[in-house]
Amino acid sequence: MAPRLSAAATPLAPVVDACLVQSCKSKSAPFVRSFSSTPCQQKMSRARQQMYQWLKGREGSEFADPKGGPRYLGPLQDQPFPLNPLFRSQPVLDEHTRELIWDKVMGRGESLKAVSAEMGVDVRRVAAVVRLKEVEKQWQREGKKLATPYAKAVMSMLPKTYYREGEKNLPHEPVNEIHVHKLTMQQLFVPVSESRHFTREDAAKAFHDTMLSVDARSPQPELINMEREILEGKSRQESLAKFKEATQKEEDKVARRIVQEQQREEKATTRVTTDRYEFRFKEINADDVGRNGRSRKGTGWRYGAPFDDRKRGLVKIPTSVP
Amino acid sequence: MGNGTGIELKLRQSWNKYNLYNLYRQTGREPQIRGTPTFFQQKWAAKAKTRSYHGEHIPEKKWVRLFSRRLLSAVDMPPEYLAAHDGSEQAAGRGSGLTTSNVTAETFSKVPALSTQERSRRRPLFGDVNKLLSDQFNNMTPYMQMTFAPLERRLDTAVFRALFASSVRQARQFVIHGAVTVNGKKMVHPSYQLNPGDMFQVDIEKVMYGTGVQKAADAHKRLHENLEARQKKADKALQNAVKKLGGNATAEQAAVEGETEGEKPEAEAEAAEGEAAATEDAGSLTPEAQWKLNNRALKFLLKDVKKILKNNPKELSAKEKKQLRLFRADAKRFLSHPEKSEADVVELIDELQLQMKSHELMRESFEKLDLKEGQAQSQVEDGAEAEAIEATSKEAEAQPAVNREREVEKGLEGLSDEQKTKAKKIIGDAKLSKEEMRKLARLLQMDEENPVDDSKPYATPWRPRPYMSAFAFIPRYLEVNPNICAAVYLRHPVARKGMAEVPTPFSYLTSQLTHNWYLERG
Repeated sequence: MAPRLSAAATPLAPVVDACLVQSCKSKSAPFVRSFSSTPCQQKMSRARQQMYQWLKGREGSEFADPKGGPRYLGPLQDQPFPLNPLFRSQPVLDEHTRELIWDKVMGRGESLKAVSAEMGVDVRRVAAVVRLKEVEKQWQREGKKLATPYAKAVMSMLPKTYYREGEKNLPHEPVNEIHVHKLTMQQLFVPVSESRHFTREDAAKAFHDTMLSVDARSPQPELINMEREILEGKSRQESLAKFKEATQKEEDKVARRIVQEQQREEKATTRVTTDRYEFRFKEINADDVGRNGRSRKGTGWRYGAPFDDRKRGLVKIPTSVP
Repeated sequence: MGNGTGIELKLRQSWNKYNLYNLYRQTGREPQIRGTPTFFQQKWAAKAKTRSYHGEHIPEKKWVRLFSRRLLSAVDMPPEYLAAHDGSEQAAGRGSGLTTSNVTAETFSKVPALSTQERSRRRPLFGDVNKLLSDQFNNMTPYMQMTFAPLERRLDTAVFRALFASSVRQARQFVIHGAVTVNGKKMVHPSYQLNPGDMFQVDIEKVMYGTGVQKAADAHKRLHENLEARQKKADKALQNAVKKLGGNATAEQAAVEGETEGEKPEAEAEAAEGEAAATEDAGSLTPEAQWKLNNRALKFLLKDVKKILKNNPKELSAKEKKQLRLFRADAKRFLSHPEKSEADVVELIDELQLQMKSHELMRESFEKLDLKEGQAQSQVEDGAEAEAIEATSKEAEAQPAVNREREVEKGLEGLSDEQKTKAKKIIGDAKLSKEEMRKLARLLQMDEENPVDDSKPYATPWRPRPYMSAFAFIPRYLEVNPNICAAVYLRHPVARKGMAEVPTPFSYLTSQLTHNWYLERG
């Protein structure tokens, strides 16, 4: 291959010699050679100068080494982007609160929905916190090293919500948030007589026949029932106990169903263990492939049916990981 | 566009200082309208700007396929409101043009509102188009800011948003290099679309590398030099001590010492071994000489530590931290652990404590020589009691310590009063109180969490990279556990009243123009 240097440039030999000499001179220094042949600018441009002025100034140095607590660019305290007041850095759950959630669910055996309602944290978040904490505990049991310095630094930079047991706490986030349904994003003009009691159910029906009302789409229907009972005159304690019982029962049901599912699966499979493998046999139905032989339910590859999983133009990236 | 220099300034999904400065000087703002740019031109400019931030590493064709005109939003419906009202109050009396009630779901909400407290007031820019819109921001659901929501579903973007990488491109590299797992399975496709409930986990070494300060070439040269010098000094001190004691000792012991001296050159080559040999040699000395040797070593060991322990453990200076690390190396040597051994801090401290305790018991035996027999007995009991309080598990080890103390007592009977007082004077420097010991253990534990380790690809002890705090936010659609560098994608990002969850540095107007571009309606 021809050398990359142009003919006009200095011949190669002296350069190599120089490099050799240099490398002999200082063993520790790596082989340094610039990629660019254009000379670097003698002066810093004005814009660059200004940048360094700001970075080294009061404001810039505050960001370079923060004094603890969140610090953002925006004019508002929790606004990371100066131009976008519509995005805010919202607080995250602090370490103790996450530990408490884990303890409530795994230690004291409270239901996810009850913990969610009590602490003002979304049910999905409660479940996620418990899941992540479980992994953390497993790591600790295995003696795996956690990323503690990283976690400490990150948590000190983020705004946090604290939950203190037995005190009055602000909720972390709304627990009963409803997605705005596509069908409800249109404007409707529904003439209704003035005397008619037009409720949320009626409004949902007006949008679409199968549309469910907000109450039916709520992730916390038991909580709504509880509040309703309280308004009807029951004591808060009594209805809270009832709410907890109802949610507990529901979760137990789900757990039982999962166990049953597993048992059924286990029953259907025959395991044969050899010294190298464990073979698992399952009964299959040849009719599962359907009329054209291409049904998703079918087992195995059928003669003549195209198997598209390696075809060009088909996306191979998985859409879900079980 | 329109910054006067002719260079297109772009915002990127990155934590570097250039990006920070560009954010600070509002590079992404809508330009002041000069002349009559057509709608197309405005849209084009806005689209170019936003795309340079949102997924600039994704080909336009792929993004266009991802784009969805259906923007998600959510409304808070407090259960209290749903229980108290069935919705009919919204319609009541409207027919006659009356507003009979001002009940809304919002009035029941207890969730804290977004802050409106301004940190600093900067002079508003001339002709700020965004200002015109901003008055209504608190009362609307900013759907337009959700234009790039589909990109937030991508695995690489989620890794970046969870603060596990310093830029999206780095996050993408982490994924491609196989450092990211989704639901426990390795996922090497950065464009994998996370589903609600997916848990992704990044290798913590990669995260520490991505978010930590970069490693300098010879960062710990000084520390290593210090360690070496310290080791030499310690060896010398020990040698001196042995020599000194040898003067008093019998000829027999002198011979032993001679052996020690002979071993010294070897010991310098392999310090730990030599040290062990020295202590073994010391073992063959009389109890008194051994004690003195130990005392010297302890004194040397605790010289700097005493000073450190007086300060607040959270505010150690760099020098003190270094001294702590030196102490650790010394302590390892003192307890004759091999240099490279991965001794646990707790183990180390326990052993040190045991050493000191036996040392302390010897001291007590000196004092006891002045006192009567009965009192001495009670003191032994005291010592045993203190031990019982400190660690019940060490009772088995306490027994030999007491035995040894008795032996020492026997050995020291021949000492003169002069020697005893001298010994007592020395002892003061060679002990730590229980409280100090606990503090030391805590300090060492803190150091253990974040140790100096040259084998790591980042600067150790780990520090967050500069300017990280300005970019440190975690959107609500992720739940992150930084301890294990894992996060759960809870749901798709949504817009709410007054706020959108997609982190974008651009104003509403820019996003609106972009959205219009991708709607492809002329």
